[in-house]
Amino acid sequence: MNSSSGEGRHDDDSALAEFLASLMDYTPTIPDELVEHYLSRSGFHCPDLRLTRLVAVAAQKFISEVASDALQHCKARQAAPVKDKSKQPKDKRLVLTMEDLSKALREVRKLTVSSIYFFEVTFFGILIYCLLIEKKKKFVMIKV
Amino acid sequence: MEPPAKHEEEEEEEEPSPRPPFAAAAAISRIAVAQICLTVGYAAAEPAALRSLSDVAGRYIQILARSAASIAAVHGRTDVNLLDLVRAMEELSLPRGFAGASDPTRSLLRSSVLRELMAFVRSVHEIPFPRPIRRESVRARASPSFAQLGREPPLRHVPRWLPCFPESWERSRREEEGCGEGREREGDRVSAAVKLSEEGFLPAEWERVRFRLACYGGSDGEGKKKGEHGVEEREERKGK
Repeated sequence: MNSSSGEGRHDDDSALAEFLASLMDYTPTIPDELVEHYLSRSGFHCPDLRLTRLVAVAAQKFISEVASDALQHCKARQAAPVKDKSKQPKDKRLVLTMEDLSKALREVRKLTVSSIYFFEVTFFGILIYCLLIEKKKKFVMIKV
Repeated sequence: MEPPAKHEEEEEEEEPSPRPPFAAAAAISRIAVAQICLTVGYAAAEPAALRSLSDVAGRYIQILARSAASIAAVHGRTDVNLLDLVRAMEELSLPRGFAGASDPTRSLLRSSVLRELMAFVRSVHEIPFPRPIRRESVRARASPSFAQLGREPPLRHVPRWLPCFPESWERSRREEEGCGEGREREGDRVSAAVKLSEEGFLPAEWERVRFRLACYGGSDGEGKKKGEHGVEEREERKGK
């Protein structure tokens, strides 16, 4: 059991090392200069280019997921039967519209951004609550 | 194909007018996102939709980078490493869910987020950016610190790892203190190093800008005198 799990770990580690090495050959669609610009603005400091590429690839994966979700919405809209006979047949060309994008981003907005701000809001909410309690009572026991 | 032709037109229109620096990043991200949409299967995109998606891409990178930097800082590091980045990616994909999220003893290097990323890289064809991008001049990295130049900071509370103070401030302080030529030589060396690093970045007019920092070592009267002296000098330079 132990030896097989050890071998499994070794395979995983070597796969990860190979992946990081292959990142140097693979050119992500989002260029390194752009990613470095955003990283430096956010306080992300790392001299290793592989991590920059990893961030670029993660962003590329995220955007392609959002775009494919929007594509599904677009195809669903086109596949829907035409109600009016006078209406022109829908364009077979797939165009990224604000409607499809907003539908796709609505899911992401719930998941990504709000989760980060949720924690900040709860922290400040608790802080304000404690301050309000302190005003009402003279002695507040806060167990840390 | 529509999107590449449209972007070429956009670039030609935008090149002649002077733009703020972040507009270049927005334009580049727009092109990159358009290429990603092409691979996904889109034939064209509305300009507003493309702009918003590229903005989202930039924000995603910033959120990821910020959380990775804060995780590294929590562990007492200034440089981000792979584990911090994986933790940040897991944090971002927690609401959506990933395999093994419920296990608190999970290994970060064997994270399913990384595995999905590896599978994505294997499946997607490589699409490089169409044009080479001029790298922004390394402004921040070129300013040498006190320790790098082997100098001691002029004020005791200033740490040695900070970049050197501007040459004009050093000069004004030396003039006010009335020091000898020894320090001026060091100042020349510093100014030469700073000028080499900045390399035509600052126009010649900027040399006249003086940073008046009150040295609160003496009494109020001395501080006022220093202030007056600084103002007189500025007036003299304006006269010149």
